[in-house]
Amino acid sequence: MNLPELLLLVALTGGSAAAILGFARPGAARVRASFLVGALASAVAAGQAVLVLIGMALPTVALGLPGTISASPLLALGIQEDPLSAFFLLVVSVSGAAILLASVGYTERYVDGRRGLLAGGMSLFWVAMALVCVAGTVFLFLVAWEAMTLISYFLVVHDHESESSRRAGLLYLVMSHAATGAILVSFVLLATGTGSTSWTGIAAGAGGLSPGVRDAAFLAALVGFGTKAGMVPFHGWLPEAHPAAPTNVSALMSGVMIKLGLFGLLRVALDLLGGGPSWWAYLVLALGGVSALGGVLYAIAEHDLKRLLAYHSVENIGIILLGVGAAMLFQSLGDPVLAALALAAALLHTWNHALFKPLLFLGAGAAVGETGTRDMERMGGLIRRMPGVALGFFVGAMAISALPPFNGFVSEWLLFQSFFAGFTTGSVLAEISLSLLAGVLALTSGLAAYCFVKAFGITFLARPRSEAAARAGRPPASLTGGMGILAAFCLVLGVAPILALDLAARPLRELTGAAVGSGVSLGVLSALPNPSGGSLPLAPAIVAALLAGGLLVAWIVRRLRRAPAVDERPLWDCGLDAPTSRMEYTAAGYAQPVELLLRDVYRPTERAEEVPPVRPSWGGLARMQRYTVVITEPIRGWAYEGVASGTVALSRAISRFQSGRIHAYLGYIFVTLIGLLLLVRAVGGSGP
Amino acid sequence: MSGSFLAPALALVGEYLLVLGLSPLLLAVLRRVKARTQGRIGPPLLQPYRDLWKWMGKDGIYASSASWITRYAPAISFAALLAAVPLVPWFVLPTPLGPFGDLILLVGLLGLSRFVIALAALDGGSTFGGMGSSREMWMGALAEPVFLLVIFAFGSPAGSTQAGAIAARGVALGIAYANPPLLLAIVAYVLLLLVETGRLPVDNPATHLELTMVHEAMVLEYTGRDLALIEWGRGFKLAIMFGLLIALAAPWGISTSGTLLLVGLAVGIVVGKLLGAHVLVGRLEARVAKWRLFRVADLLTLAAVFAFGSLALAYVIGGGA
Repeated sequence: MNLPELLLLVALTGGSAAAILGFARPGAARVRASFLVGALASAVAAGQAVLVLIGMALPTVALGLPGTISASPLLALGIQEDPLSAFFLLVVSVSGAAILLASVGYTERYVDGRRGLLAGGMSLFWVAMALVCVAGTVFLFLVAWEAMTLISYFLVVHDHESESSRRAGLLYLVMSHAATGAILVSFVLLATGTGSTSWTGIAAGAGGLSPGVRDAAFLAALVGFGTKAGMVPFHGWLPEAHPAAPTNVSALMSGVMIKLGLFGLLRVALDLLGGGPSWWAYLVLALGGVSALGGVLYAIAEHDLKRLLAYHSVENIGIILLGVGAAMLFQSLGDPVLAALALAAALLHTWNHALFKPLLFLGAGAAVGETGTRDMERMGGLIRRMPGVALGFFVGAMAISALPPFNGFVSEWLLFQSFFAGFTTGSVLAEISLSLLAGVLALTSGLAAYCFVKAFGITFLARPRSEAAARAGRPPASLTGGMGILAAFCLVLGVAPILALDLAARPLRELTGAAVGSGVSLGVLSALPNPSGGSLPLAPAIVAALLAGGLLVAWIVRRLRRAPAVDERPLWDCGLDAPTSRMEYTAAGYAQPVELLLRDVYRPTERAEEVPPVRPSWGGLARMQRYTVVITEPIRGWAYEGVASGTVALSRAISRFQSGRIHAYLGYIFVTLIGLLLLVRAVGGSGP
Repeated sequence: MSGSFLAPALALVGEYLLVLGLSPLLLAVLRRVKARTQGRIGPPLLQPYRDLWKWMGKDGIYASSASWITRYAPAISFAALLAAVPLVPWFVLPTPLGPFGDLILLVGLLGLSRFVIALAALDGGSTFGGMGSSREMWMGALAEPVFLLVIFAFGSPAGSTQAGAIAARGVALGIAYANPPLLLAIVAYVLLLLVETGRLPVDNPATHLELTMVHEAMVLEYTGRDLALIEWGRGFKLAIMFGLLIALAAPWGISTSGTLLLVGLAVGIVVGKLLGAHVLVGRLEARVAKWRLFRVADLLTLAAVFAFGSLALAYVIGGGA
């Protein structure tokens, strides 16, 4: 047993111990201990992943003699940690640790028994996700995957008293299992075709598979893993389940779990199958583009803070898929250097999103928890009640809007660069689609900035829009602390992305075969090869220094003349008399220009109805109308309900066979037996 | 060693002095030309400097409903715009700071500046502020894809997204740099410039009617030193966007050698070109009326079509912008 193996063992055991601690007899101290042990285990796993990524490895040969206990217990379980596993373990564990830490305080609102369930469940959820990363065989992977799905289902329905939670949980459970079915199909095809159930065995034999089987395995994996990731059109569960779950669970699911869908896709498409024809890539690019733009558009129309964030997860998964698709495209065009660049963007954005999305969800959790509503129109002014949380949300909003000097900017920049470099591939189709997708990506990031000015501004700024918001309490310190860790990572990876890229170098090398170095020079992104020679033209450290210098100049400008007096007065607002919070801009008003411009896309349902007049305080008579606009995804109407009603109709048709009479069932068995015998006769040829 | 370090450092300082010092004058020229075209005398050329100096000494007032966002947003916006200055090749090539960033970074920095001001506009809770904020972010979101396509159109023949590399190619090629795809890209960029800098017909910086405001509505609550930072920053955003136009569309005159005389000449040339560009926009502004908000989307779509057309044309006839 070597150091990485020991650490992994410690982390997994620690996570399980934390779970037992949480599930055991309740008590505030025990719950706190459970969260802290879980966070610690997660941190150990993050350290272990770093060790593996910088070159250490788990033992690859079992030292034990046949029949005795293997010297390497993890290997005996089927655990294997290649660089891709280690990178995702890192992503899962850094955010996992911060979220578990933040949960200590966040969950104080629950009574101890419920809180213990949440604590144990979350640690166990983390263990399952870590196992998904390091599973080396089909069996272990599927067991861990299923465990992850089931535990997260129970976490989603944690607030099971509410009808909407149960409905959301059911939708999530059904869609997840359909997805697992698709994944199973993919793995069965791969395993039977290659005669192996381990990743290494399948990867070695995948070259000999027929193109039809490869295509089928890829498509099944795309559907299955895409559902987990929240890719359009399989994203339907996501905007329902995230708002229903307790917010720290949403943070773990939206920030971390959906990344494992991407992990699975990368595993199958690039690692096991080793890339494919270019139509695979175009398919992923198209789905990525639709997810990115669709996600952000519905986020803008959303005024439920948690649903808004959920739609942004769809958007960011789309952005990552654009990177994955571009990498697959370049690989199919025979350009590993460009593939490495695009994949670097995808991996970096995966980690970045796993950092800023939990940050935003935890901030939203504080706002929702302290005001008791998810409706942004009833928040406002929270920056005064919870300054630390507001600062964290502010950082997260800038990071997700791809603004320098935060991490989101770097990964989107890399993606733009890989699209730009696509002009040298010489394929007309690639050039046209990449330049169009660059436009889509830019529109997406512009709209994301628009949406997050709305989200931050309406939720945290101006005067409180309701009594509850005015009386909001101060969230616990551990929540702010957890957010602080995540915000610090957002800034550090924005200023020194080379740290993340160095860690991603090994998976990039293994998946693309390009010579990705790990040189650090002046903070320039020199680790990645630049298609047009030299180093890539971005030095985030210099950008940060320039920004700091600019702030210094601004400070000097403010002091060029003798310091004038500074006063605080009621809002001027062009002389309007005593503006109240009802006169503030609303989330609905803020989003209106986009909704108006894209009426044909949104197809809103508008309704104006007469409401009984109230006698205003100034005496006059007023006719009152209530005007409502509802925007729902069209896909929910026909696709999801179509599938649902189709399933019901199919079940009805099948249920006609179920008469309840024994002799009928015996008859079925007899007919089936005859049928099978005939089949064996026909297919098997000669009998024994 | 010290020599190779000193020259870029001096050039960088020179660029900052040029942009910081000249941008109020350029604004004054623009206003003066506009006034003259409309038959007015217009403010004196030193007026923007006097305004800045006045604001710097003026007492500050914040709304009691405003938070630290209002207090720090002007400085952050100012810093973001300052950080964008060395991205533009002003008068020497290669750019003094080297490949530290490109035009995509410029888009990011402009976005950062817009983001914090739009938040500050919502901060106090003023109705006009929210309106301006929503409109500004809306335009910004629509302008971003156009900007990227324009960058691709200008950048693809040079194989780089850096303004320095694109301008260097132009200087090296001389008149052969100009071709039809370049023209289309320039048209797209000029339309984009009007939106990004909030000039007529997109936004009227001189309006006094709140309901028609975009940028002005966001900063209505500001006064004193904060207003000085905002207005100065706005001045050199204009200078940056025009400087970029000049560097991409007509880079001839930028000095590629280190001799002091040639660099001095290049400074003169770039100042002349900047003045010329401002005169042109002043003339344009005097003639057009403000459009209604939603026509901005048409303008930007048109710009996107031109940019994409430039890319396509470059592909068909070869060479490229």
